[in-house]
Amino acid sequence: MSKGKAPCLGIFLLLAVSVGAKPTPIGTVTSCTAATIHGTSLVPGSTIFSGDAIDVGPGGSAWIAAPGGAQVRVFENSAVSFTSNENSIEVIVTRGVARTNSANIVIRTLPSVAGLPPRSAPAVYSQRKDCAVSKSAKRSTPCHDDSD
Amino acid sequence: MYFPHIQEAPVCSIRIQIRARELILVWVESSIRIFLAVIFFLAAGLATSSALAKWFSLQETPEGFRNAIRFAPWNAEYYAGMARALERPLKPQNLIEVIHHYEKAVQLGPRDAAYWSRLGNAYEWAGREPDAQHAYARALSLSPGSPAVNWVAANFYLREGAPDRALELLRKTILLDPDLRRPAFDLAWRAIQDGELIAGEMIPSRPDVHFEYLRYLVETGRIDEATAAWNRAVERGYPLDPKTAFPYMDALIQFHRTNALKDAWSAMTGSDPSLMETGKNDSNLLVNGGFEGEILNGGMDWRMDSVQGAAITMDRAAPFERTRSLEIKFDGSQNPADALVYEYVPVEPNTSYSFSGYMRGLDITTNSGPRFEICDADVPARLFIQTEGVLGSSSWTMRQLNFRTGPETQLLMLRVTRPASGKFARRISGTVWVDQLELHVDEKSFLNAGERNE
Repeated sequence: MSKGKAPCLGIFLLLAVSVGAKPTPIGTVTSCTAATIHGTSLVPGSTIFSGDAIDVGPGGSAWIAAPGGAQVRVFENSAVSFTSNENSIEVIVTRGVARTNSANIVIRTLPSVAGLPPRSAPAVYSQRKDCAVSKSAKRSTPCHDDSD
Repeated sequence: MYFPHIQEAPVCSIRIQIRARELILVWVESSIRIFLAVIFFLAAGLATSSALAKWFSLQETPEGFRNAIRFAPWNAEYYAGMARALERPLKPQNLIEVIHHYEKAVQLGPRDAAYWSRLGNAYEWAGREPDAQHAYARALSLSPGSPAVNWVAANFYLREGAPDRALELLRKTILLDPDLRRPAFDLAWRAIQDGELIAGEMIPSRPDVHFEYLRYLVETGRIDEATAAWNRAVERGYPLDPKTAFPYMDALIQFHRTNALKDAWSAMTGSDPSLMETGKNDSNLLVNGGFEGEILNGGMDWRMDSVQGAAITMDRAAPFERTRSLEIKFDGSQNPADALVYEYVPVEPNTSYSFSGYMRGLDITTNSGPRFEICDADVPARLFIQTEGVLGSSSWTMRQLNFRTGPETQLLMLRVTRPASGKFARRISGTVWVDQLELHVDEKSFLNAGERNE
């Protein structure tokens, strides 16, 4: 193989792998209010994959559970995106505030966001009524309809 | 002779019997009373403890549910509530307790699919996938018609890398709950990214679902998959109404898919006889050029945006031909600069065309009158021509434009417009009528070009 063809083949293979690669599951939405994922209403039970972006509106929140009992909470007026590598999950906060209870989840706030004070994000976790599959619920409720 | 003992013996026996009966009655009565009292106290105790348990559970805190369980340990809901309370925020050290409480909930309420579903979730967080799969399967077997259970299980199978099973469950979810259609489409695309697989396995053969999926594809910019979905709808003979078709056609315009736009328009008008243009000259490339049909406001028909200071209606009083013409009445309050009506027209590159249309004016003021304008719909700099404006009052007058498209022009925009006036008296009043618009391939120049090529 000529010298010129080898890098081209490498790039082609890399692109082929990245195009064909299946997204990695990161966690599950356990609860949400006034939240969207890529513009579609977020629903409890939804899987979050690497590369997904969540937007939480005013008065909303989203809880994402990851394996091992790790959790991420995205506060109101916030936008985050998720990526993962072999050892950890990275949450990039592009707007607002997100918190986690796990050392395996890294929350990075963009510099433009970090300079701003958090917008009306409560400092402690609040206990919220469940909006997922409760005993009385016949169906999952899209987050924008969630009244709790 | 008198034998008193012989007569008294039965009397005594009867008295004893009566006394015994009385004692038995008293005993039975007392027993019943005691029994009722015990039942009453037990019921009262039970009611009190249930009420207390309910009261504690309303706190929706781990402590509240702990107390609720203490007062009503037989109630599965409190164990599930306790587990849910511990989930948010879930501390890794609480995961075992969460699982324990869901296990207790399914033990006490083994026929409740929601408990099994949540237990499956908890098992999954703990990395116990086989147990999770069993729990989800149990939930599905108990409640196969629950959209929530199908949704949660579908998500599980996607995470587990079993897309076929996941799509099968999402298909059920979509049919069971219209609110979950959009999240299901989005989930499938985020997870699988295979339009053919998603369309084949997840989208049921129902027009309402099919067109909702088409709308999702259009709104997310997946134009190739949207075209495939549209073609499937045509093949299956689904009703193609303008409300459904127009957003798709707008996307085709946006993505420069002119041929697909023509196909979609033909399919839509072909499927609904009421949309077929009657008496249309086949060589006329314009749709509804005589304004004889209703303006559909989309697709390849005329479109109208609301323009302040201009009222656009159909006039039957004095059309140029047949029964109707378009009437635009300016109230003199504005200096509009927008297109009043416009239409997209697919054309061939490097081809000569001839346009004609009729206009009539009444008391049109200002120096900038209404006119016809033709431009390349994508890049107006490629092609932009216009007729003279109508000023004052005039009878029906034909306006003509002859032009040749460039190598890249595939879609034209024909507009009836009125450019804003820069003069002092720039507000426009008066009325203009428009009728019999036609656009044809210029056969003469076409033949000349053919001769040149030969």
